[in-house]
Amino acid sequence: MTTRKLNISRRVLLGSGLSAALLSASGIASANVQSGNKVVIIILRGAMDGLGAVPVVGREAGGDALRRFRPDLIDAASTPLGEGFVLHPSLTNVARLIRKGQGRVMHATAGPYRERSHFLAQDLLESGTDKFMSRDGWLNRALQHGPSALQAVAVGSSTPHIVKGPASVASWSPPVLPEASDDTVARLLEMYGSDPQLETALAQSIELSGTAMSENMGRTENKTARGDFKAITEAAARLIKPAGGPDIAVLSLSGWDTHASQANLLGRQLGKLDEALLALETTLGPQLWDKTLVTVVTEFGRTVRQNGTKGTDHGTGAVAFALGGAVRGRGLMGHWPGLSEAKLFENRDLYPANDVRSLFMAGLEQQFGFTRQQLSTHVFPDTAGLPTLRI
Amino acid sequence: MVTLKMVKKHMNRDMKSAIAVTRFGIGAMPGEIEAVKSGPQSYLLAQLRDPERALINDPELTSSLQSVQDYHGSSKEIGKLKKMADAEEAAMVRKMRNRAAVDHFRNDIAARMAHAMTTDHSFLERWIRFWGNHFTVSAKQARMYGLVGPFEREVIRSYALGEFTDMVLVSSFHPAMQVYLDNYRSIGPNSRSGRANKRGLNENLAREILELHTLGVGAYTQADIESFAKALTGWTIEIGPDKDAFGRVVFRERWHEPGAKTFMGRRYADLGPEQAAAMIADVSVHPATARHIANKLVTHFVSDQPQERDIDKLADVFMRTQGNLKSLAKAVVRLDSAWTSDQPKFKSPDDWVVSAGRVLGVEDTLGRNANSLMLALGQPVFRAPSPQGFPDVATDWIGADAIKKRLEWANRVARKVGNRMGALQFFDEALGPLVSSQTRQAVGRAESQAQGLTLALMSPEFQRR
Repeated sequence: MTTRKLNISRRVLLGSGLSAALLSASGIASANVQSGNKVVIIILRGAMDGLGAVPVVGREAGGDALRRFRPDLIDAASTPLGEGFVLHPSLTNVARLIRKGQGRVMHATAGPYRERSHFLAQDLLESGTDKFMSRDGWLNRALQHGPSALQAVAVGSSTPHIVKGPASVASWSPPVLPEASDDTVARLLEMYGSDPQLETALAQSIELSGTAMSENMGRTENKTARGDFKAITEAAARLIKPAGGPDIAVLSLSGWDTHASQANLLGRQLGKLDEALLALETTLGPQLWDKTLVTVVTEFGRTVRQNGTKGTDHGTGAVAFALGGAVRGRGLMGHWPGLSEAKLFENRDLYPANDVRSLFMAGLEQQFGFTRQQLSTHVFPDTAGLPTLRI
Repeated sequence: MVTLKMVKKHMNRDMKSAIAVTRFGIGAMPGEIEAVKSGPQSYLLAQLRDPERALINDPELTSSLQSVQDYHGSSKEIGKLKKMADAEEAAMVRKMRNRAAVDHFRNDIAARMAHAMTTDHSFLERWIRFWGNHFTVSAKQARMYGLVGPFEREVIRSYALGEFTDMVLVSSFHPAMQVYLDNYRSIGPNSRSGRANKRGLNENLAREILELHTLGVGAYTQADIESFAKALTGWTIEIGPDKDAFGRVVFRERWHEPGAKTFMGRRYADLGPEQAAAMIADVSVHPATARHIANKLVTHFVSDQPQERDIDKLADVFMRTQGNLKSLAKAVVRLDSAWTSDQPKFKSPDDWVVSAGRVLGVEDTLGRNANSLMLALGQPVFRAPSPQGFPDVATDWIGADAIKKRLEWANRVARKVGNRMGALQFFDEALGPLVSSQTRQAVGRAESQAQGLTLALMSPEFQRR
C-alpha cells in the first residue's frame, strides 16, 4: 500500500462519516495497559531443531555426545554463549542481543505433549493445556482474565489457534491476491452504511492495513509481502507501535521440518528469523524495544541423532528464546538434562526438562502483571506445579 | 381486476421462493428462484424424498477401506525399510504415501465443491454440510487426509435422512472417527493387552461423542466419560498382522476393558462390542441430545440467537420420532421464524463461495485450487480446527481480515467473469427480491461491470442469508 492509498483510506473513512467512536468500537484504539509493555510471540511451525540452533559443545554438557550423534550437522563457526553452548552462525543478531543482556535461551523445552504430530503439538502449544484439541487458545483466555483492555493482534496468513475464543482479537495478513481499488473500497463502505457489523469490519480492515503496510509494500509487491517474514514482522511492529495499539502480537514462521539436508535449510530459516528480529527491533525503535519481550517457541524438537538423509526427525525437547529490552536476567534458563544415552527421552530425543508454558507465564507476569493464581486458574490450567521462571 | 391483496400475495411468494433457495438451500442457480415460486415449501420437502441425491458417486474417489489399506500398508513398508537401515528408500515411500493421501484429499474437495455448486437439491446439500460439521473429522495428520472425504460420503451422505442413532453409531465406528479421536489405540487397562503392556485408555472419542455429538456439555459426569471410554475399548482398525481384516474396523477382545459398567445411571452388562453400541443408542435419544441438536439446527437455519420456542418445537419432534432425521428436516422447513425476509444469518466462507459458484459457474469461481482458496478465506475444507467443527454464528466470521480476504477474492472473480454477467443480472438470479433498492442502486452506479460484480458479491444481501 502506498502513502497515497493510506491517505485515501483515511479520507474514505472520514468522508463516509465514520467517527473515532466507530474505530474505537472496532477494537483498534484500545486503552493502554501497564505502561505500554509489549509481548511478541513468534511460533516456529514445523519443529525447529533446538540442538541445531543452540548446539552444545562443552564436554560436560554433552558436546562430545552431540558430535557423535550428528557428525554432519555440526557447524564449525558458531558464536559461544557460555556454559558449554554455542549459537548457530546465522543468528548474528540474536547473539548481539544475548551479549547485551537482551536475550536468553531456554533449552530442552516442550509443552505437555509427548508424541510427534506437528498439528496436535501445535494445538497443545497454543491451547496451553494438556487436553487435546481444546476449543480456545491460551492467549484468548489471557485476554479474558487478565488486566482489562489488554488487546492482541494476530499477524499472518490465518488466525492461529492461540487467539481463538470468545475475546475479540484483531487480525491482519498481507494480501494474497491483488487488492480491490480504493474506489471500490469507498463504494463498499458506503454500501455498508445499512449494515453496522460489516461496516465495522471493513473500517477496521482499512485502518489495520493503513497501519500495517509500509510505503514499500505497494500493490505490485504483494507477492513478496506474502511470503516475506521480515515484511510481516515489520507490519506487526507497526501495528503494536502506536499509542493504544495492541499489547500483544502473534506471528508464525513455518518451514522448519528439516528431515533431509538439514544444514542448508536450517541455516536459511534461522537467517530469516534473525533478520526479522532485527527488523522488529528497528521498526519498534529503542524506546519501545526496551519495553518489549519477544518469545520464540516451536511445537517440539528434533531427534538428537541425524537420520539417513542428513536431516533429523520429529523429537521432543526443543529450544525457546526470550529476547528484547524487557529481558532482565542473563544466562541459560531452566534445567539442562544432558545428552548421555541414558538421559535421552525414549532413547532418541532431548529430554523435555522445561515446560514452555513457564516461559509464557513469566512473560505475562512480568509484562502485564498477571498473578500466578490467575494464570494457573484460567490461562494455563494444571500448571500449579511448574516452577516459577524469571526472564 | 388486480387487487392490492393479490399483489401482496404475489410479492410474498417471490420472497418465500428466494428464502427457500438461499437460506434453506445454498443459493440460487440461474432460474431457480423463478421456478420455485409455485411452491417454496413443497420444493424443499420434495428434496427430502430423494436421499440418494445427496450421494457423490465418483469412481475417481477412494473408499475409507482403500485409504486405510494404502496408508498403513505403506507405513508397514517404511518400518521394514527402516529396520533394514534403508533410510533413503523409507523416506521415498513415506513421501509417496503422503502424496497419495493428499491427492485423495484434493479430489474429494473438488468433488464436494462441484457437487454443491451444481446440485438441484441444495437444501439436501445444506443438510449434509450441517451434519458433516456436527460430526467433524479433520485432516490434521497425514493419516487423516485420505479418510475425511470417505467419511462424509460413507457416513453423512448415506445416513443424514435416516435415524440419528444410526448416524452416531456409524460415525463412531468409522475409521476416520476412530483415528481422529484416537479410539483405535485406546486399550482397557484391565484388558489382557492392557495388563501385559501397561498401555491405557484414551477418553477422547468418549468425551466428544457425549459433549459434541449427542448430549452436550453438562448432561454427564467425568465418571460417565470414563465408563463410556472403557466400553469403547476394543473397537479399532486392523493395521497389524491380520491380513484378511487389514484396514477394516474390528473389535479386538483382548483390548476390551472387561466387566459391566455404570453409565448415565444405568448398568450395562459386558456384551463385548455391543456394550458401547448400547450406550450410544441410549444417549442418542436422550432428551438432552434432542435439545442440543435442536439448538444447533435453529442456530443454523433461523438465528444466531435461537428462541426457546423454536428449540422446543424441534426437540419435541426429535423425541417423538426418536431422532428421525427426515422428520426433523421437515420440522425445520415448517418453522415460521425461518421464513423472515431479514437475512439473519451471515454466510460462512463455504456458503458464500458455493452460492457464488451456483450463479457464476464452478471453474470461474474456484480457480485452480479450491483448497488454498478456502484456506485463505478461513474455512479450509475437511480441516476444521477442532472436533467442535467450524463456528456457525456471524461474530466468528465477520472479522477485519476475513472481510479483506473476501474482497480480494470477489475482486478476482469479478475480473474473470464481469464481462459475461452484469451485476444486476447476478442480483436477479442470486437474490431476486432480497436485494434492497439502495444496494441495487449502488451496484448500478459502478464504474465498470467488474466493479459492479465485486460490489454485488460483497453486498450485505449476498453475504447474508
